[in-house]
Amino acid sequence: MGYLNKSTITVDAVLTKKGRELLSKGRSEFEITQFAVADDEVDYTLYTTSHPLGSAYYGSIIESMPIIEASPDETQAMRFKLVSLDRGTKEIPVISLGVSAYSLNFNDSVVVSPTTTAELATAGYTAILFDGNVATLTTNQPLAAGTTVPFFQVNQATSANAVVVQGFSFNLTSKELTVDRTTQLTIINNLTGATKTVTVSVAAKPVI
Amino acid sequence: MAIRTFVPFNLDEDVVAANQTTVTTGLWSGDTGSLTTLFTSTTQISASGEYFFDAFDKNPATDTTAEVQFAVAYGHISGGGSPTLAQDDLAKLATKATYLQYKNILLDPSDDLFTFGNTNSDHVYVINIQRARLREQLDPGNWLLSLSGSLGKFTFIDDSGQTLSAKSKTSKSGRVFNVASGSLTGASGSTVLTSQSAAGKGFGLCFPDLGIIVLNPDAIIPTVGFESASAGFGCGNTGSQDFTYDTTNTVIPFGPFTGSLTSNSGAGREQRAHDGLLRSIKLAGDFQARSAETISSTHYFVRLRNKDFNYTNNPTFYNNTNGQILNEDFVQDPRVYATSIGLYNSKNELLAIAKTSRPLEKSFDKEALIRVRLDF
Repeated sequence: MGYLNKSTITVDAVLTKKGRELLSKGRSEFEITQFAVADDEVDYTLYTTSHPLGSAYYGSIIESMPIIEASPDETQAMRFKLVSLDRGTKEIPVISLGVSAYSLNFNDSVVVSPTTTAELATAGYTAILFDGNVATLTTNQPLAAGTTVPFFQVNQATSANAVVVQGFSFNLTSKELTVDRTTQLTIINNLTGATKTVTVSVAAKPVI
Repeated sequence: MAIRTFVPFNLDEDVVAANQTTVTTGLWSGDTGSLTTLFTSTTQISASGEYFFDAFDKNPATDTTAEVQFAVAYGHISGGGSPTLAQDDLAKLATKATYLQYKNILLDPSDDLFTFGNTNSDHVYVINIQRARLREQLDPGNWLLSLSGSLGKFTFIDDSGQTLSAKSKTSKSGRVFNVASGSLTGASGSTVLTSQSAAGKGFGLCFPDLGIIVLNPDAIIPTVGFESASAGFGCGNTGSQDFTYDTTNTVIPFGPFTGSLTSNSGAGREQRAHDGLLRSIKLAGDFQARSAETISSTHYFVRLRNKDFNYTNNPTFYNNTNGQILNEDFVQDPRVYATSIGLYNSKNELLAIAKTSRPLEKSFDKEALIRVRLDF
């Protein structure tokens, strides 16, 4: 006979900036209704199937890692969410954009058309352009009216210049710049949490 | 199964709201409970020393981390110890302003004078705990002020441990307890030796919700033994005469001078009588106190069921081009390691986040129950 494991883990939560903002408006504005789980700090290449002590130790390096304290900055948290999929899944749903980066000249425009497996795209996508001074980002194909969209991470783009839109595809148009500039475009599948981030480069307006 | 990254809480079963807990901690900087050395700032004293002296935990002249712990002030209903307007057109009547200021804050509108025991007092010492130290309140029944004078070292507490329901009262400034001579020991958490001076005067009042202790000079001075001051002597006015010495060469702080000042310069300027109290505290070298804060906590029970959360969008888990899981062992027996729990509203806005102390393994043959505590 031994002692039972203490099966409940207790952890303390900290409010994010968004949480504090809503709490300052009153408790009625602050209503937690759901949760998600993430593994931002874990690198799965540390899972060692060649560990000399055998399979019980495959994950020992990961499990021994110290964890960094929670940051109240939502831009730095919950980036890689755990997802529920059927057992035997061989592929994690990924977003494809067909390009590895967007390079725009003055007055250029391009349609950003993310694709995923059809049944996983029904909730559409959230697109975040992290610097709205470089280009404009608008919805090309909007979500169906009345669609309930779990547009997670929308509020994680807290940069003052960030642009966040939702839809099935998006218009990306360069702005008039005096120097070449780059920023990042992140596309998030609203259902699976899959993310894809590419670089957007915009060339300065040519001097005539 | 449904693909999902968010799981709604069952608000009836998973959320336990509004647990209130009182958290206490040492009152002084660094959460220490006892203050043994004190310093003052010449900068603060030259700017506002006629009203109060700030007490620092370190020497502010040499240590940039020095922080104000509390302030001491002296107030007199008639302005005793301050030059009058007849003596100085720019007189600030600092002691009168101080007395009336605290009267307005602490006493009921119909009450003009501080009353200690059954005796009114024209003048008061005030110890005002720095707001940053105080958090929500001074923990009543858990502070001890040591004072030294010619009659020795004496310790003062409040009587909340003995008379919480009988003698305490609630005024417009919150709860009020009597200051008594005693110590923080005994079955009630403290022991009161005497609640009055030999002359039958109360020692003072404690307003824990405001972090203010008001002391009665007419009880403290004869009990502890402060030297009688005269105009310009012994009250933080002239550096060489802040103390006197008895026959055993023991340092004795001065009490307030409340007589008529002769002028507004030299011996006649502001007496700064609160310096006597501060020096008595410094001589005794022990001011113990705790702060108390009522925290409202909500507990969220996060249930990671066996079939949920066994895969991840972590880019080291899969090939970012075709999505194939990189480690073949994970295809049939996926294992992921949770480190963060995000709490969201219905708009999927991240409102709070918790971290596990170490990565928590999750697989199809493991479940986890995590209690997330959120304090407000």
